[in-house]
Amino acid sequence: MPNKVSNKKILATFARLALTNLGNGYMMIAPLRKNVVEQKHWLTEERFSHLVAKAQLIPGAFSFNLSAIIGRELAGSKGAACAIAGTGVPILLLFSLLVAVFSPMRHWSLIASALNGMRPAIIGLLAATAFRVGRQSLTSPAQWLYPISIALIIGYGHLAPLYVVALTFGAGFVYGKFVKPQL
Amino acid sequence: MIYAILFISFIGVGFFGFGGPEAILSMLAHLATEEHNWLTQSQFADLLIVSRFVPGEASLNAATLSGYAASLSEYGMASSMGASLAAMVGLALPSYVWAELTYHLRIPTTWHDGLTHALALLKQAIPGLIGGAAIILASADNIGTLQSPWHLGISLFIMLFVVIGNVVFRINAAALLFLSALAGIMLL
Repeated sequence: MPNKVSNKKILATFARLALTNLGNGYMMIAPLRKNVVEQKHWLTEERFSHLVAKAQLIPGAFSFNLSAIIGRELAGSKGAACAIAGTGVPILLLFSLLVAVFSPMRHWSLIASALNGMRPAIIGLLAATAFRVGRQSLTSPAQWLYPISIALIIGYGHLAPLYVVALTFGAGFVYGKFVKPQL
Repeated sequence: MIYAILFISFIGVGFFGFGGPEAILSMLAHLATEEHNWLTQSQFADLLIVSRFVPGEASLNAATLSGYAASLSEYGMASSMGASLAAMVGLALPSYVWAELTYHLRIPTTWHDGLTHALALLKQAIPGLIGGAAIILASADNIGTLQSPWHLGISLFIMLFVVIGNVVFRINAAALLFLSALAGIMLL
């Protein structure tokens, strides 16, 4: 594919998108599609969906993954770097400002009380997400033992989740490649 | 020194953070509150709350806040921007490398069975990763202790209310957070 999109345009596109999107990285998909597929015609619908799937497969922060993959496709390595910078720099500046301004306000009595109410709520929301994600990938009740034991080991055993991921990945790979063919 | 530690730690998150925006939170929570004392559990919880209402994915904001908090007390405001940048670049670098790798390399067909099983096993582990983050954050400063039974009781009630409200009645997260804030203002 020829390098048809300028790095400047990529930088501007991702910066504007980063600043107008709330919530987690998946919220970025729809506006990005509208922007690069429908309005600017930089990518076809099929190609865009393929790239989103790829961004979901690789590890890391999703908004950076998506920026890097789309930027790479549009304008090569420099495009990927520009897309990442476009996403990261505005967020870095904006959140630094928010932290500097709002950190002292956490201790104001009204805000402190509201936060005391919302902290258990955010924990509850994580638990609810865990349950909803599990309901999709786990079929029998016995299968729940596996994620539940992982949660307990991370939460109470203080084992780094990085090791859990590496072990899980390694075990699954070795089983699929070497053990299962022998059976 | 703190710059290097932040940079390398966040590279680790970027390279191994499988499982989507929520699963990666367990890595960040462990890193920032347990492995290093960059943030308290309540700061991390506040970060997740605020990230729902401002631009930027929670993991990006976590990098900014970790850098800021890790260096503020020792080196002051000017250096904390640099520390945030170090963490952010560490988080972004693996995405760049993964994009390059997946663009150039084709996965050998002999790896397919291995990768399929690895990803299937990881997929089943994701609820555990998210649940682990929830347990890490269910600390004394976020939900209270037995010494403060009123705070603990209200917290447990809110948690239960939110889980049931979200899973069973499908009330959206923003509405549940708003109700919890009201409950906090009136009761805590």
